[in-house]
Order: sequence, then structure tokens, then C-alpha cells
Amino acid sequence: MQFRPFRRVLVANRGEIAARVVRGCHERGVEALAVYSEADRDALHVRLADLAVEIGPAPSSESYLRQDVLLEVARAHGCDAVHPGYGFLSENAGFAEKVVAAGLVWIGPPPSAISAMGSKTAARQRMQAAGVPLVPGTVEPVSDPDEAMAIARDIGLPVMLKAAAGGGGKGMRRVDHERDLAAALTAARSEARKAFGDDSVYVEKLVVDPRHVEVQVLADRHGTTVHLFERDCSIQRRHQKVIEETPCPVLPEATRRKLTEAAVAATKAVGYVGAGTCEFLYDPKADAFYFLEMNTRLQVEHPITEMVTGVDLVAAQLRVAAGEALWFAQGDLQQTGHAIECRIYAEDAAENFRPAPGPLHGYREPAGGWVRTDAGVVEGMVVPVHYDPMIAKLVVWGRDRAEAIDRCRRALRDYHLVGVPTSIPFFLEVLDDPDFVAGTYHTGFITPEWLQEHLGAPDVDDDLLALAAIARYQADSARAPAGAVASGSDWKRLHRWRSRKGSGGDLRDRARRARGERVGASGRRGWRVSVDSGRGG
Amino acid sequence: MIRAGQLGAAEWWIEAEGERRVAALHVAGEVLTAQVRGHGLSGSVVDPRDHALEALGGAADGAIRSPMPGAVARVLVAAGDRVEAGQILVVVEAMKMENEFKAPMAGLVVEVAVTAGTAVDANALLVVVEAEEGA
Repeated sequence: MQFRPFRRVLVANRGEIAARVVRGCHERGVEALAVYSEADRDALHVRLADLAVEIGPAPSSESYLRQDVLLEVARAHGCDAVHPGYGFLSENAGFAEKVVAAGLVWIGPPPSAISAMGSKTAARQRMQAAGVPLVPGTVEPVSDPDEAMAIARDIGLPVMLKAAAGGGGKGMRRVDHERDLAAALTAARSEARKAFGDDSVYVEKLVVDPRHVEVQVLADRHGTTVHLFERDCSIQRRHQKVIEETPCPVLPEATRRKLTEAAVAATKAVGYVGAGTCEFLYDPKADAFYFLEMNTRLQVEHPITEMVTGVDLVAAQLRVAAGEALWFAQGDLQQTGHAIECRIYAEDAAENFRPAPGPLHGYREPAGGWVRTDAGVVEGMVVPVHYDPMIAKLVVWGRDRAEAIDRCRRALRDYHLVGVPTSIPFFLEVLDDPDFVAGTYHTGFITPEWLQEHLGAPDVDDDLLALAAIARYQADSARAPAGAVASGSDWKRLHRWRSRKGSGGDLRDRARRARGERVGASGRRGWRVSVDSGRGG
Repeated sequence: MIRAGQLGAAEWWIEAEGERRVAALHVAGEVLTAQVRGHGLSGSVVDPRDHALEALGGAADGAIRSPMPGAVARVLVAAGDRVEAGQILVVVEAMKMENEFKAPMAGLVVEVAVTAGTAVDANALLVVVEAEEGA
């Protein structure tokens, strides 16, 4: 029997990451206690866990962010450790301290390391001292528009405004023109205050056409820190990553070595323990990289690293948190093959990625070799409006990048997902884009023009329209249970349907078309089936 | 001969001349949702008997609606304001993101239907802007 690091872990999160952590616990023989809000009663993590406790109403401020409630649940239900996942309280040093003070193990870095990296301003100072390259910008947070203007003029536009306590694109604004600076500052501070309770913002030079390249690190309590190579997360929308891959397709080996060394230096500089990620901007033209920030938690995109290194990062988190030494050295690690992740969101890419939460009437994941899905949903549940609308992560591995892309495309097409628009069509377009295929993309890859060009509505075929009429007819007539529902005299009742967009026709025409016969125009008074391009609601 | 049947909650088959094809769709009342080549689509299915019930769509030009449920973070204009095309009118926070709603054309704000801090449903009217010719 393997070493069992804990008896029962409280998983202080929801969605796919909560399911991921529950599974990780089970593989180590550890029980998992899930917590859930009123909106998540049907969620997958609740079903997978050994036991689950409802902790409050849907808004995360009244449930997943309730530190007191979480600590009380951990105490009352015999947990000996807390895994925070990502987001929510995962980078909240105060909560980590309370967990430790309650005699529980925090499955994450020491609170001091979270604090050191949590304030980007403080982190920049530490990194500067450790010799890690930084993007030119302010070292102190800025709130006064005049001061921000002076700094922007000094380092040169364009600049980025970024929440000091931020992440995930919140509290972030690009400023190209001096006249926009004041409004952008107000918006960034307002978002930062709401998202993080801290409206400090700093100003930083914008590296034009950069790539977002990050390094996974892992450290134990016995002085060993290793890196698990890089991930390229340059395909972004609204400053949030949506496709990640490893290895980075354009990183020279010598630069990879320097980059990963810088990440290890950054990690050691704050006395880090556990899994973490050092994010860098990489300028491929100059072959230069700049430290952005360290995420002191498990990342959304951790599975691609697991795919190419064979290291289970959740297992590593559990074992390191329990005091074990890392069971491998840097020299034991290598990148094998290529992995890609697509974050599948309930959103309408054609409408600027408008979040589109709603019911998942149909849901079936792709499978097959070298395909992994990390999801937090099941068929029939509703993607709640209260949280990030990510449905699942699709992760594939290939011997090389081309094979990974082909496999990814196949798996995306295998997804059965009915009820909400998703980012799947967007991903299919990206995977076919020559710049993506060549690997020469950057963080500004997705533009309104690109979306305009690539995201048209698909042609809807006759079968779908006919089936829609049949489905409605069957539901209304409440007869013909299963099997053949429209045959014989039923066709007379159903006989006319047409679409508002002009396609369509008589259902009997559908039969003739199947036989290769030409058919005439549709009737005037029949079933009317209209299908829009995923823009309902 | 065409036959059709249901496979799952949102999956149907249709068979013609011995060839069966499967389509991903769900119909609840008039509301149709479907998946075609990865696209999540929505639409409606109107029974011939219900034609009279068909809703009339189409908002007036310049009626700015929130496409998603959320909370009004800021209202930057008042009725009577002159606005330029692209000027930000209202900011709605949804899914933890701030969404800026801009004037589709230069004109006059004739109605502000929301106040900061209030919740809005999908399709809720935010602001009405009326084009001003030669303004």
C-alpha cells in the first residue's frame, strides 16, 4: 500500500478542478470532502466526492469564499487538509494562515510565499533582487491619473494597467493613447476592487506581439526545487488563456534553459513549496523573456504538463504537503511529445465571447487514445450564471505537434454538447489557421477581424430541420414513445415544414431527396423551423 | 420511406433509404437548441397550429439591451445627453467581467432604463439612443 498522505481532504472549490482534486485524492487512498453552493447541487464534483456539504447560496461570496464556513466544515467533518484548487481562496494568504492555525494542512505554498508573490509590486522587487528579468514599469502601485500619465510617458506607450492583486485578466487594461489613460485607470481599479478587494494598479510597458510562456515548478520542504518545462498560453481572448500547448513551438533550446533556470530562481527566492507557475512574456523577435508573475497554485492548464512529463501534479501537491521529498530529480524529467489543451466555455465566440450559461441538454465527452477531458458537468445540469462559464478542458497528446493538432481537432468534433453555444467552433478555426499551424502566433492572435472572417454560422441541413419538427410533434402528441415516430400517416400531419431562412421543404421532399430526386418549393403553411447562429437568449 | 427516432436527451436519428444519420438537437416547447459541426445553435419550432402565437421580434435601432444577465456597474449617461458613436453608455458586470455597452451611432439619449447597482436579465433594455441627423 502506498503512503497515504492524509485521511480526508476538504476540496474548497467547484467545477472541473474540484473533480480533478477529488480524483487525485482517491488515487492516493485519501477521502475527499466536496463543498457546494445551492447552484452546484447537481455538479460532478459533488457526485465524485466521498461526502459533500452544502455551504451557502450561489454567489461565491456567500459560499466558496466563506472562509469561516469552510473551516467549520473541515473541523466538523474530520478533515485533516484543505486543497484550494485555483481561483477562489487559492491565493489568499490569510485563508492559508487560518487553515494552518486550525491545525490543518494547507495543500499549497507557505502563506509567506503567497504573500510575497500575491502583491505583484512586492513580487517585482523580490524578482529584481533575484536577478530575474522584468518588464519595464512601476515598482509601486498607482492611483493618481497624473502620476500614471507621467510613468506612461516615461516608459512609452502602449502600456498595460494591471491590478496588483490580480489575475485572469481582471482589472487589466491596455492603453494606446494618452487620452484613454484616465478612463482605463478608473475601469481597471473598479474591476480590481470588485474582484480582489484591492484597487492597487501598476503600469507596465506593453511588449508588442509577445507570447505568454510560463514554467511549471515544484518544490518540496527538503530544499529541492525543479521545473517541469514550459507551457505556451498565447491564444487568448479578453486576456484569458483559451488554448495552451507544450512545448512552446518557437522557443530555442538555449532560451528554454535560461527561462526554466529563471523560474527556479524566482521560486527559490520566495521559499516556495508545492506546485506553482512562473509566467513570462516572451518576445520571439528579440529572443528575450520577462517575468510577469508567479501563480502560487495549481493552474487550469496543468494537465498538458502532466501529459508530456508523466508527473501527476495533484499527487505531487498532496505528497509534498504531507512532507514527502520529491521522488525525482531535475535530470529525471523530460518533455516527451506534444500536448494541447482547449478550454471549452459556454460562450458565443461570434459575439465577442459573450458568456452563455444555460442548460446542458446533451453532453458526451470525446474519448479515444491520448485524449483526456477534465470536466465539472454532467448531461442535464445547468451551467450556472454565477461562476466562470468553463464547461470542460480537452487535453490531447501526440508524438509531435502535428499529431496533437490532428487529434485535438478530431476530439473537438466528437464532442456532443447541446443547449449552449460553446467555444468549440472557435477552436476548430484556430487549429486550421496557418499561423497557428506554423506555431508563429502571439497573444494578439484573436482580433475582431479574425473572428469576423472565421466565425460564420454553419449551414443547417434538412435532417436537422425535419428532426426538429418531428421532436416537437412527438412531444406535443405525447404518443409514439420510442423508435420510429414518423411513418405512415404521421407524415401527413407533419407534412409541411420550412425554415425561415429559406431552406426547408416538405418532409416528403426529404424522402425524395434521399432517393436523389429533385424536389419543388416548400409550401406556405407548414411547420416553421428557424435556426439562428447560437445567439438565443 | 423516412423513419426517425430519439437516441438520448438531445440526440435523434433519421433514416432514409437505409442510411441513418444522427443529429444533436433538443426541443422543449418551441425552443430548439442544436449542435451542428461544433456550433451551438438555437432556434424555434413552430407547429402550424401555433402560427398565430409567433412572437414579433426586432428592437428599434438604438435600443441597447444586455445580451446576458448581470449587474449594472456604472451608468455613464443620462437622458438628454448627446453621445458620439462608440461612446460607452453603460457598464454591466457579468461572469466577473465588465462589459461596456457603446452607442451604435451618434445621437441623443432618450431613455436610461437602469441605474447602477441593479440586476438586469438577459435582453433587458439598458439605454435608448436616437440618431440625430446632421447633429
